[in-house]
Amino acid sequence: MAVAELLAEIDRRRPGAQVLTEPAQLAPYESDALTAFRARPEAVVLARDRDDVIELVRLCHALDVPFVARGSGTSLSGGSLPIDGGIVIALNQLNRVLRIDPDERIAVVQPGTINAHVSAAAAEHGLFYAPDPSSQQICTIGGNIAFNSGGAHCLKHGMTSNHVLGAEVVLTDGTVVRLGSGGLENTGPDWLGLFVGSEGLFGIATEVTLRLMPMPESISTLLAAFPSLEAAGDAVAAILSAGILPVAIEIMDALAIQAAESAVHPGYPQADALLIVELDGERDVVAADFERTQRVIREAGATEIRATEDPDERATIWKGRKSAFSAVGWLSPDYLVQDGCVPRTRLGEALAAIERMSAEAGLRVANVFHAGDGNLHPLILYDGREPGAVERAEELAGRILELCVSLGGSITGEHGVGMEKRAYLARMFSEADLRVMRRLRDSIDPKNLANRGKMLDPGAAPEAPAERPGSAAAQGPPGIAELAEAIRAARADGERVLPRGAGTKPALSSAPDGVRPLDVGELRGIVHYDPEELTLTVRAGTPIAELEAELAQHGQRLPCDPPFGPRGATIGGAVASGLSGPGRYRFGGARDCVIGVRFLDGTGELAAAGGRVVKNAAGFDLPKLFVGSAGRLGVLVDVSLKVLPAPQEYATLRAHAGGLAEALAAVRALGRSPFDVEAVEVDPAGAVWVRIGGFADRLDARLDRIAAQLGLADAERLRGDEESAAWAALRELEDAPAGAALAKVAVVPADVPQLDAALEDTGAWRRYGGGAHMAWVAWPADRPAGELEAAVGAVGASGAWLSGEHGSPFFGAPRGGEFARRAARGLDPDGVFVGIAGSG
Amino acid sequence: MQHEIPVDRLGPRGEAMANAISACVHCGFCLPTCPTYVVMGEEENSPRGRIFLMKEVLEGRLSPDDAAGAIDNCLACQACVSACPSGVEYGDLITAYRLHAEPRRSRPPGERAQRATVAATLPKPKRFRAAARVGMATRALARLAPRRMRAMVDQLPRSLPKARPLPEFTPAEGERRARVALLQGCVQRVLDPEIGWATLRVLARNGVEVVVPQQHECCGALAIHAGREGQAKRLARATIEAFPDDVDAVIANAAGCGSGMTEYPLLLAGESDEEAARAFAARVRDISTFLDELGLVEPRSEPRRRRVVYHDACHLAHAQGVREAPRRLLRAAGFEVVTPANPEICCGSAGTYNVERPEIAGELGRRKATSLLAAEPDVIAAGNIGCLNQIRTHLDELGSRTEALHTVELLDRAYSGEA
Repeated sequence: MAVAELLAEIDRRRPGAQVLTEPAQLAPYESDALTAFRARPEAVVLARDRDDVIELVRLCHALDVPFVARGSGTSLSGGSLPIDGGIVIALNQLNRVLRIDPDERIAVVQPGTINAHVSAAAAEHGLFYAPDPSSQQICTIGGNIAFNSGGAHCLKHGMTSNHVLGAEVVLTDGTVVRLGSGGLENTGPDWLGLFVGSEGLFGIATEVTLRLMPMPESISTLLAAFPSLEAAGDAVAAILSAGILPVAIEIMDALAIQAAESAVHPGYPQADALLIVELDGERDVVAADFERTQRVIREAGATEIRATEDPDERATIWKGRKSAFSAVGWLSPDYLVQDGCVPRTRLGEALAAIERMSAEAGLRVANVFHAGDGNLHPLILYDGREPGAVERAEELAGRILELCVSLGGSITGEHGVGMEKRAYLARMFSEADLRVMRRLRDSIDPKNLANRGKMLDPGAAPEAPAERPGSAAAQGPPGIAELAEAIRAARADGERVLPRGAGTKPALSSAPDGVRPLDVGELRGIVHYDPEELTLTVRAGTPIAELEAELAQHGQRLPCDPPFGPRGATIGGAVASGLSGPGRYRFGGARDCVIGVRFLDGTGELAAAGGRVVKNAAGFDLPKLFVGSAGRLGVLVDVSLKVLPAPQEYATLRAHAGGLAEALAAVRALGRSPFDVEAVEVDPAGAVWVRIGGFADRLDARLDRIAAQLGLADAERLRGDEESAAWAALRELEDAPAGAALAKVAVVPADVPQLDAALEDTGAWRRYGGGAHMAWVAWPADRPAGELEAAVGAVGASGAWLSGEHGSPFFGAPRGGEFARRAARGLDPDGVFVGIAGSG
Repeated sequence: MQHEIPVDRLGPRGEAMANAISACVHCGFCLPTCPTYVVMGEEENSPRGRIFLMKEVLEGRLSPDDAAGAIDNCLACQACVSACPSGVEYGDLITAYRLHAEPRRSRPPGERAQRATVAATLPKPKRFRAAARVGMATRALARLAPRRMRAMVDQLPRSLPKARPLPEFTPAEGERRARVALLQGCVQRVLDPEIGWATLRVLARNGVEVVVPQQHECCGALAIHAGREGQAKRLARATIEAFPDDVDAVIANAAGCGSGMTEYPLLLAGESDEEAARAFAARVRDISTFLDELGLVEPRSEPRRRRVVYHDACHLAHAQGVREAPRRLLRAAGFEVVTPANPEICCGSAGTYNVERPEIAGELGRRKATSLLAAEPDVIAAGNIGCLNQIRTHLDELGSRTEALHTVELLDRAYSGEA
């Protein structure tokens, strides 16, 4: 009834729309790549453009018709399974790359654009789109966004969420919002970060701005045969311990090798385990690392090693690996693919356990996995015609998921929860955690129209274990209980609260009149740190300096390089304020480092999101949302972070490029170059600082190349203590005038000249960091704050005051709109936290 | 994929269909390479969708008529076979399915008339020639004719070459290295007999003596792909009968014919002559494969028009896996061989597809001609008459005067110094 009306309406409003209603037209949409689930939609509408999509969503909302957005239908978790009684909104015709800006290194694309087509379109500019799920020849960007897809090369380059800079989204009532700043930095909560990975539950992205990376000048690929999975795993550990960061590390077991050989004949060696290691980047660095990697692999007991730099050979190696899932069709009539994630150091343990469990179940399991980040893909082979086989396979799948959780991992690294793992979400998250997620969803999509039944609905729930691992530690030290109580009390009294760490960003953390300050300084200490794992969990009130000292002892560092450590700033405050230092240039800012959070929400409940493993697609990406949220969405209690090995040594070029325009040109040139640069800062006078890190003996030669490329032959070179002091000064903004009000502005590099011109005569001190994606401004006390705010808003940038007296610290272009309002209400239904006016 | 197909009730070709469907894991890797999915966008017009529909029909959940539209839209180009990581033999599936479904489905009268016309004329060269003459003479009137008639006339060339039947025997030049039988091709001998003559000259030049069965008219590939079982079997048997045993190979210079003959074992599965069909199919070679295996005698002079943009006919590249042999031959003859963008996507000819689905075929033909020209050819080469005809039509529409020739014609000209 409702659907018939909807179709009549869509025909009236958007004539000529391709609408499918015949049984033979609908039947092929019944499944995506997870064929265990089938459901026939009432209709499929192939949207032609963004306006079709918006109109369809509005009609669905008006008529209470649930919908599923679908790209190519390649989800392995049933994410694009249709809903009974609902419609499918097919986006595969919105498949164009709309615009590429090679200087800004962005691609603006429609959501149905095939992943591989983005790189194909960017190739002529020497750029590529990094996230590479194995189905990239057909999967679409929209689907990648829904599941925060990864792929083999996300080890070094990150997942989809690290490469989406902006999106236009239609919410389930048809409201259109713009999320994200369009650049790498942001102020206020990371609303876009929350949207990515939300499995289609929050709305439909209708246009996406993607980040493009410069093509590496050197790619070297190694194929090594090992006598056992364990030996291959040990080789991986050895490679990472040697301080080498490959762009991809994959392992395949004998069955998977056999399947790949049958399917695409890549010519793999026969072995019990095959290791594929790929290095990319600067020529000199890759050459040396390649040498080193081969040595490590040989010492680890490889029985055969093949090395190549030839693009065709490389393509063949990857073709074999990327067709592995489908290729097992040669070995078995049916299969289930799992997507569990475990801490990397426990991979060997996990594989041994899987082997044992599959023997018990009497089923063969082929193993393919992203060894660098602990993301496993056990392929459970079975024959559906055999009585009881499906059940045994599903049971084994469930046991494997529970194993991953018990080892401290995740039920899904990149395929998402979808339909398939709904019941297991409760293994990973507590009732409180899920309650928060449900409240979020209910607030953002009150009618539950978008991808109904996916991710959050429990489905058939197997018996929950009596005790969840780690749950005993959930309460932690008394500090948390007190904070929770304070929140509950404020809520009962109808008052608001604002958390505070060390107060180093007073504009964000000073409680206005009538708001109760919450001191989180008591929550200190490292909860969990395994240097081999490259992750750690720390209490929010821990001083940055303490954390950095601990990391330094193990030769590691925080990639986001947060400032104000010397002032006593806390890590929780760094994350909450979204402040990253110059080092963010190479591997990302706070949003790219935070992998898990525990927080107190607006009801005083302690909840967790994310996890302790780098690849985690389970549940909403609240960790990203909290970055920049400045205590206005919840009180951070624990933060889990990615860490990286620190380079052996650093070296810096300090030059004068003439003026700001020349300096920005140098930044652009660097951004399109193959050099592995740690940090880039420029100032309005044209000063340029370029920092590289790595093995000491090669730093000079590498600086030579960079200087030559940028035409900075007369640049000063810094090494040693002088070098680190210079960067400490830059990070801590030591040359900003005292007494001025400090602000962070998130801007896209193309807008910097206009912004700077507006600030030139104001006497404001400014510097542009992170590759000119952010501006630090010290605003003179005698000028009205509104002047800066207007200048920032005029270029479409956004900002946050860090010091000085301000009504609301957030200013500039609004971010998040209606999406932000609903999400905030979901997390804080009674408005216990200070609002985010000006940021949404 | 799981299925409940009652294999035993589907006759000898049932297992081939069921196996192909079983192998499919619904991964979708075939979608980006399917011409109809790329042009039309609905799941039913993709290999993944069609496999699902054929499964539903064979299971009895849908009727053959329900699925007919989507199945008829399939060009049977088999690009999906090349792309599939799971080994789905889609070519076997679509052939077997069409043979199964044809007697079980209905067609509108206009379609039936067109198919009957095609089935009656194309396999009989004299009739086809006569019909083509009529079509060309009344081309202006065709504007007023029903769409289907117009589509057939649109495929005809500007002028029809004189009939030039190939001789029964052509001796080898110099030392005899092999002896083969050559299929003339039904449509090819009418539209472009020069291809056959060039084949004879190139083979002779390479020391190969050639017999051409004089009474043989058509290998039946078009009938197989149209699902006309009776006609297909008749023509297949006549072909097997017509070709002598005392040859090293049965040569086809039309990709569609060569590919069609390799399907004889599937066509005649369960019949008493299935083994004979298998033995025959094993002796079939495309002219390019045969010459490549034999070793091409290199021409004495360099070609003038050096840059060849080579078009991969679907029934050579996807259906038979023949990609490198023609390229090697052309390079050995002194040409520079270039591959256009999107080589795996069909030109739209696809047997009689361009008269059955003229709009889709037209779109694909336009795209193919455009990508061929974008590669800046001196000359275009292809190993199939259907493709050549389609490409010539669309080059013409784009106002291009670039020549499109059969691979073997280019080799012939390289030998005669006219390349």
